[in-house]
Amino acid sequence: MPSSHESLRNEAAHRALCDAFFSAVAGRVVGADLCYEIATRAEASRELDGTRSVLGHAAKGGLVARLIGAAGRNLEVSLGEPGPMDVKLRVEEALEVLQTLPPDPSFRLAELPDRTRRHFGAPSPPSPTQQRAASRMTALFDHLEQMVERRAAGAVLLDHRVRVYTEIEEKVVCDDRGLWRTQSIPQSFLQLELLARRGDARARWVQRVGKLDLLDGLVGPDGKPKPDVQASLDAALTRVVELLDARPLSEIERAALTHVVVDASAMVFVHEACGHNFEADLVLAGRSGLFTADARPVAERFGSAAVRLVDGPPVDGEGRLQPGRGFGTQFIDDEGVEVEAVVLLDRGVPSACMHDRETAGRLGIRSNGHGFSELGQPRLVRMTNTYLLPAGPEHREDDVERFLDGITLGLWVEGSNGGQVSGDGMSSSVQAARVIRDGRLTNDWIRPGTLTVRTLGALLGIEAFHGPPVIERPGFCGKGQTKTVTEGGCTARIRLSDDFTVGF
Amino acid sequence: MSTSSRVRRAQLVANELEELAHRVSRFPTTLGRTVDDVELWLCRSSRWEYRLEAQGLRPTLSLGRDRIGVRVRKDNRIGASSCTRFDEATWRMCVDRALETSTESQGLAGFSAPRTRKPGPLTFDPDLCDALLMPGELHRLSDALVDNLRHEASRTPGLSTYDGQVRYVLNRYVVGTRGGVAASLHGGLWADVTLNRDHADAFHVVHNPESFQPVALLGARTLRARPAESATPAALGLSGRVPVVLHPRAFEAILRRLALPLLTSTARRAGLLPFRDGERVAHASLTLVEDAGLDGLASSRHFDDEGTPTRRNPLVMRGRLTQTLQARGPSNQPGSGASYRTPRGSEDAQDAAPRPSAASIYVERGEVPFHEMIAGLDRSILVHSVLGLHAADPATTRFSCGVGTGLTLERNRESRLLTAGTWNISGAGLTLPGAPDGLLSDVVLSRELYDTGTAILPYCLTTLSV
Repeated sequence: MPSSHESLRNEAAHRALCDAFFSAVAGRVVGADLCYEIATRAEASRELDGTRSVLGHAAKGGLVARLIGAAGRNLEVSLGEPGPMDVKLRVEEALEVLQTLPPDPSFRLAELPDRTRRHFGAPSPPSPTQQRAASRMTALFDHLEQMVERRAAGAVLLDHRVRVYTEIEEKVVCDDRGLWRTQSIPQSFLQLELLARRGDARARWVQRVGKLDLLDGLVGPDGKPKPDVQASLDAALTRVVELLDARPLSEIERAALTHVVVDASAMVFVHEACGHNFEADLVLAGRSGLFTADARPVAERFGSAAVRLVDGPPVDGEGRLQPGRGFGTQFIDDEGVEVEAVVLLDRGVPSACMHDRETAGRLGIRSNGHGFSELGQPRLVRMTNTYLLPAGPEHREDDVERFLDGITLGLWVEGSNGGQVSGDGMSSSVQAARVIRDGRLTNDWIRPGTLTVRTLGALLGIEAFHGPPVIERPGFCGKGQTKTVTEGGCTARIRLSDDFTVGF
Repeated sequence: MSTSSRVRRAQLVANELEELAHRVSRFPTTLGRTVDDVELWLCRSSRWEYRLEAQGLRPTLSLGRDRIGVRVRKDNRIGASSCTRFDEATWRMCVDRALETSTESQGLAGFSAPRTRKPGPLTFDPDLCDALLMPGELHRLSDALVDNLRHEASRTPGLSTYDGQVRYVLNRYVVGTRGGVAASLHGGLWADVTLNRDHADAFHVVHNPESFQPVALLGARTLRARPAESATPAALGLSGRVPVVLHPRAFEAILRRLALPLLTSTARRAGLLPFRDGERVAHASLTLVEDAGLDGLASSRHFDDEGTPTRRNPLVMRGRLTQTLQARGPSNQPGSGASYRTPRGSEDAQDAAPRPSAASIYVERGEVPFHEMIAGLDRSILVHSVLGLHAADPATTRFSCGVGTGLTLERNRESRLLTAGTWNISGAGLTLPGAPDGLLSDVVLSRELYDTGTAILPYCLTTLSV
C-alpha cells in the first residue's frame, strides 16, 4: 500500500546522486527527468549434472535520464550506476550529443497526472542476504533432489535443473521540477525444468512459480516449498512422466484439426500476437501489425465479439482488480505515472494502446503508465500483466462438456516456454497438448509444439471461454531489455483458420 | 573536428581500459588473507544508437554500464556475488557477502588463469572508433540510410514501412585474479533495417571500412530482390516433409539453440549427449568449430570469462564428434577457453556463473555453389529468419517454430514471399538413438560462406516438416 514517508533503504544517498545529476544539467537543458533503479537479489541454480551455484548477493543499479534541449531536441541516456563525480562526466558527454541532434518539433511529454510525492509498495524489507536466502535455497535444492529421486521409479530416469531467486527492486523517479516518487517491490521466482527418460523415450516439462513476495512466499524457513508451490511441483513431475508416452501429431490429424483450446498457461501467444502490437512506441515507429504509424487501427476489429483483452493489474473471478498481484505488476512506471489497467480490446474492437509520457504526448493524450526500463536502460513502452477475458458472461461456459461440444478434432494446449513476434506474424511454444475428439478431452498426449499466428487474425477465431481467469504464469519479456510479465486469462476455445496454425 | 581530436577518442577508450585493468588487478592484492583466492570479472558496455522510426531518428545513448562478478575461495568453499558499481568499497562488500554465502567448492581449485597471455582476435579498430564517435557522425550515417529508404519508398510499390537501427557498441572485458589481469576492447558498428515489418537486412563491421556506403544503402538490395507475389505454403502444396534451405542466420539460430548446448561437458554429464568422441553425430560434410579467435566477429574474444585464453575448439569433424566444451576443471585444468557468463535467454539469470558455451562459430564450406544446390530441386523453401525456437527441447533436440521471412525457390530463383504467421517448420537437430533423423544428418552445404557477425556459415539445405 502507498505510504507518504520515505521508505527506501539508502534514500539519502540516492537523493545525493539525483541532486548531482540535476546540478550538472541545471541551466543547460529545457527539462530533465530520471529513473534510478536498484535491485538487491540472491539467487541459486542447479544444473542438470547436479552442479550448484549460489550467488548470495547481487546489488545492481542503473540510472536513465531524459535530457530535453531547445526546439524539442531530446535524448534518453543510460548512465550506468555512477558515483556523484562520474555523473557529471557522463552528463557532459550526453550534453555534447544532445547539441548535435536536429530539432524535433513533434516532441512533447504528456503531463504527469499526479505529481504528489509518494512511496508505492511496502517500505523496503531486509535485503535477501539478511533473510539467509542462500542457505534456504540450498535446503530447497536438497528437498527437490529428494522429491525427484522418489518419483524416478522403475525404468524412468529423471534429471532436473532449477533456478530460484528473490529480490527487492527499488526505484526513484524524479525531475527538475521537484517530482520525487519511489517504489519498492519484492519478488521471488522458482523454475524447475524436468527431463524424463525411459529407454529411448524422452520428455521435458518446465514449471514456473512467481510471487510478489520475498522468499517466504516460495519456501518456509527450512527451505521446503510452501503447500501451493509444492502442489505445482508435484503436478509438473506427474506431467513429465505422462509425456514419455506423448506422440507426434500426424500430418493427417493436423489437416483435420478444427479447434485449439488454449489454457491460461499457454497464453503467451496473446502477449506476442496482440500485446506488442498495442505498445504505442512500436505503433508510432510504424512497427505494429495492427495500427498505422499515426495510431489508426488497420481493421475495425482484431478479435471476435467474445474477446476482452486487458493489460494491467490482474482481476479475480468476479472481475475485480487485484492491484497487489501478478508477477508483472508495478505500481508506478519508470516515469512516475501510476500503472492503469488498459482495455486493449473490448468485444474485439480496439479501444486503447499502452503509452508512456512521450508516446502519449505525441498523440495529445494522457499516459497510462507503461514506460519501463531494465535497470537504467532507455525507457520503452512495456506490458505488465496481459490477459484475455470473455467480453460478457454469455461468452463463458464453465461446464467443460458444453465448452468442448462440437469439436470433432482439436487440441487442448498447455504450458509455454515463450514466443516471438515479427510484425505480421508470431510464434509461441506449447509444452504439450491433449487431443479433443468428438467433444471429449482424451489422455492422448501430443509432443511439444508451436502456435503460429498471423497477428491480424489471432483472436478472430475465439468462440468461447471456460473457467475463472488464471493470471499467474510468470514470464520474462525480452524487447531488447528484460521485464517481468504475466500472461493469462480464461481458457479460450479457438477455431483454426489460415490465421492460426499449429506445428507439432 | 581536427584530426588530433578525432584520434583522441580511441586513445581515451584505450586509456580507460588501462585504468580499469589497473584497478581490477590491484584489488586482489588488497584482500590479504581474507580469502585464499579471488576472481573479479568486469564487463563495461557502451552504446551509441539511432533508431529509425516513422517519425524520424530516435537517439539513445548508454554510457558505461558495468557488470561486475566476484568469486572467492576460502577453506575449500566458493562464494559468488555481483554488482554494477565500479568502486573498490562495493567490491569489498561483495567479497564479504560472497564469503558469508559460500558453499562447498565442488573441486574448483582456484582462479589463477590470467597469467597466460596470447595475441587475440582483432575486434577493436581505433579508426572505426574515431570515425563513429565524432559528435554527430553516427547521426549523419543514420540520416543517409533514412534518406535512401525514403527515396526507395517513393519509387517502389509495396514498401509501406521501414524501421531499423544503427549503433556503435563498445565492450571492455577485464578478468583479474592473483595470477594477473587480462583485458580486452571490442568495438563494432551494427546496422539493420526491416522492410514492411518482416524483411530484414543487416550489416556489421568491426574494422574501419573504406566506405560506409553499404550502411547507407542497407535494405535497397533486399527490396529490389523481393518477389512481388506472396502466398501461403499450404496454398502452394508445400506441406509435409519439404526441402528447406536455411539462410546462415537461421542456420546459426538452430545450431546455437539445439546443437551447441549439447556439445558441452555439462550436457554429457547430464546424459543429454549420448555420443562418445569419434562417434558420428552429423552428415559427413559437416565440420563445426567453436573459435573465439576468428577476426572480425563481434563475438570473438581473447580470453573467456574465467580469464582462460580462448582457442580453436573443433567440435564436429566430418560428421564425427571430436570434443565438447568444458569449463575450467578441478586442479585448474584449463578447460576449452569457452566459459562465459552469457544468459541463455531473457528468462535466464543475468548474473549467471561462467559455464561452457560457444562464442564465435564456423562451419566449413560445402562443395556446391548455392545456385547449383537449388538447381536440383523442383521447388523448395528458403528460410531467412525463424521466430523464437522456444519449443526447442534439449532432451530430444526437437524443435518447432514459426518463420519470420521465408520465400519459395522455384525455377532456380527466389519466387514468392510466404506470408508470415501462417506456417511452421519442425524437425530435430541431432539424430538421437531411437529417434528420427535430425537435420544435421541430412545436409548439403553451400560453397558460399556468410558472415552473420557472430558466425561464419554456409547456406544449409536439409529436409524439414512444413
